[in-house]
Amino acid sequence: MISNPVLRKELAGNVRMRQLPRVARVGCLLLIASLIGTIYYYVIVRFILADRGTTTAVDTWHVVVILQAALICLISPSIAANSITREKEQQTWEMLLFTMLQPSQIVFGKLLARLYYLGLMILIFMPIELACWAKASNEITTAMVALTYLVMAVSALCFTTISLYVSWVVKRTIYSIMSGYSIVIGGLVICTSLSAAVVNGSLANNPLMWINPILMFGQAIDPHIVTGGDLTVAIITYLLATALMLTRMIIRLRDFSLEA
Amino acid sequence: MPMIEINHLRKEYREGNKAKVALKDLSLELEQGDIFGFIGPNGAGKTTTIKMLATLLIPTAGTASINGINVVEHPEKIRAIVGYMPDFFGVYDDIKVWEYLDFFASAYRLPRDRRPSIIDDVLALTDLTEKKDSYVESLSRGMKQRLCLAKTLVHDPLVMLLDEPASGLDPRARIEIRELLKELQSMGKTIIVSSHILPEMEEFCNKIGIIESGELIVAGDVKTIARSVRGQHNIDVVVLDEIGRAHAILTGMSDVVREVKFVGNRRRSLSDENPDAETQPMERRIEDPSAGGTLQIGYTGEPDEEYRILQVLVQAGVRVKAFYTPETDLEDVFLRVTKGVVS
Repeated sequence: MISNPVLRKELAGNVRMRQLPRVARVGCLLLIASLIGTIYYYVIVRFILADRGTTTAVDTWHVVVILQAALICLISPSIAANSITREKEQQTWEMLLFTMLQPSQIVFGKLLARLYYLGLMILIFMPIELACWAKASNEITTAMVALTYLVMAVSALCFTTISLYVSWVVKRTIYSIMSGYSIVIGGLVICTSLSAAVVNGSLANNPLMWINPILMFGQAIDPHIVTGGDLTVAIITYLLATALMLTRMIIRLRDFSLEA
Repeated sequence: MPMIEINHLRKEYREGNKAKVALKDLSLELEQGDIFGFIGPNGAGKTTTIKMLATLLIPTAGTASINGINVVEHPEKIRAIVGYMPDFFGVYDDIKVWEYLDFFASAYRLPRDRRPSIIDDVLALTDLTEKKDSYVESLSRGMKQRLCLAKTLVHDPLVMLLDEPASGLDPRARIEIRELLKELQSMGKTIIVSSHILPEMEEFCNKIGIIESGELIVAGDVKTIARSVRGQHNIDVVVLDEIGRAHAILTGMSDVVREVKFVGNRRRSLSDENPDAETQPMERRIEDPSAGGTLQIGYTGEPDEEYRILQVLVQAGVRVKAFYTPETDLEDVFLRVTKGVVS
């Protein structure tokens, strides 16, 4: 996959820091590393491990996962919004399509480059979560951690694919960003909640809520606090939607642009 | 087998319930090594034709093939042998020049070990070697245009489709692009190039096609087209003196000579960019019949008759300094055959 020219170009092109002198680059990296190190130290050593009980660890675990879920819901719908619209806006799309690249190379190259950066943002919290898990392994089971990361991975993949898909369909980045947020925040978060409340008078036990990302993360971090949702169905639905969007893009990548 | 063969190519777009015809029954054949200048006003159908050849648009009707490969049935094979430079294009600003070319080289599936030498070659050809490690965003517009040409050449295509390659460039950058196209011509590439800068087109194109309202009005060798449009050949004769007598002798050869014009001592240069310049050599009144000057002769005949005209002048004792076929004025041809209509 790393031999994919689109993926390599996207990864290289997105790191604007490359244009800085070497000394400045090293300085920036050291600054970021020291900032993250300080946060890890205070949260893990001075906060989680300093507590004699497990309450702090469990609470921190919940906060961190909610933070990650918020990042996924807020960043994924826009992270790939410019991946194809930028090519259209800067008039490189036609030249890219004219190469001998397979549609799958273009689609996966752009998708994986965006997921790479999103993954870094999510995984930056991992040491804190591992500390929580080590400290309170009775309350935070290995299965819960695995399930939480599965939900995060599936949500990030699905929302980033939505973002990429709308970027392919529309011509302007601004429309792409708006469409991405409308689908994820407007559709999956707000509309499912409103519809469930109107139809059932309750959010619980309503199939409309199964695909609500907030409910999915809630179930992952604590299966006891939310009932009625079916996480397996939600994950399969997300994966199916992702597969459908990717398949359509790969099959029609060039066709769509021909008459657009 | 022609390198490019187009038969009754047609393109229609839908605008609501109406079909808008962008190209009507275009047929054309080009041999290997031909440099075809595609000329027409804005909206005439040049870009549509080029995009169909580049597999980026599907024709409504008709066929087109390059090197015997149908462009609709085998777009992947076409992309392997064709280089395409669009009229409006961008470049990836956030990478280095060599990375840009390496990206396209890998996108054209060139082996990794061959890429560095190929990149060096195309950079040398486009005179960008010194910019190899610069970021693309630091290049001037002319350099970006040459970089785009370098990208187009990276997979050594047989055919190049260049849509307005010199548009928006300053005179120096235009000359550089023109020189580059001449070099490509010497390498045997078949090139279709569209441009509005007609004097430059006639300098390196051996064939031209004039398109208007989606219809190819005329196509072929530049001089043949000029002759068919004007209905005559032109010869310029420069005499050292007695221009009045030379004019009278030539006017008397009415069986061969159709018209004789005194155009003074200077013809407008074809590369003259002055918009106020005359589009035609202006006919002037002979002030001093004993002085020298230039006469432009329009005649209908064959090369034999050129010899006869010269022979008659020389035998009559006219001191002929120069006798030559003037460069074809493509702007004149263009203005004569087009009506200024867009499709």
